[in-house]
Amino acid sequence: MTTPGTKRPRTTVVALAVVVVVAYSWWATSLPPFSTSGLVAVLIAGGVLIAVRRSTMRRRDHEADEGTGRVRWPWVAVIAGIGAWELQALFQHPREAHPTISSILDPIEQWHGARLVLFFAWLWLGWQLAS
Amino acid sequence: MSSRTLTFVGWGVVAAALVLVQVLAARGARVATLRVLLRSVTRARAGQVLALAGWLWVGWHVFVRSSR
Repeated sequence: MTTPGTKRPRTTVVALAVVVVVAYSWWATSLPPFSTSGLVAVLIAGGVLIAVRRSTMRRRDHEADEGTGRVRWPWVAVIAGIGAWELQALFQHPREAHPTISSILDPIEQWHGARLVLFFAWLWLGWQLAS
Repeated sequence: MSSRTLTFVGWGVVAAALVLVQVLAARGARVATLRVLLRSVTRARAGQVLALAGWLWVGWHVFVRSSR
């Protein structure tokens, strides 16, 4: 049970964290490709995310049975399909005729907004993996 | 059908399959959700370290080593 006195600071912290993450993400995705600053920005984001998630994580005992009785083979099939399709495209040329995930993303990444969305998706995935 | 079109059709098929599996899982089918799958992978320490290393590599590949 939370009291108004304890809920407000937590809400403030979360709101502040969201502002910081959005601002940092905007800055990190505005850095030029192949730059040291871009590399450092990604590494700092990754390191801080892992550290924050590890320090704020609750025990996962209650999640032990979350996936009981649920099959995973459809995911294995989908991931194998993605891997196989990526490899067959990667080893064929020219790239324009056989686009890989990277070459499909490249033109999309021309837009800063698209890079920002991809960065948020990347952060979300990292948060899940660090849990 | 050109190679380019065929490759895009393939990407469309695997993307549709990914969405379909997640939708089926979210609607209560006996399929693990993506979240449950990730939890399964990261439950073991080695799995989590490998997954996070792969995740950092993806970040570098997409946001640093981009040819935009």
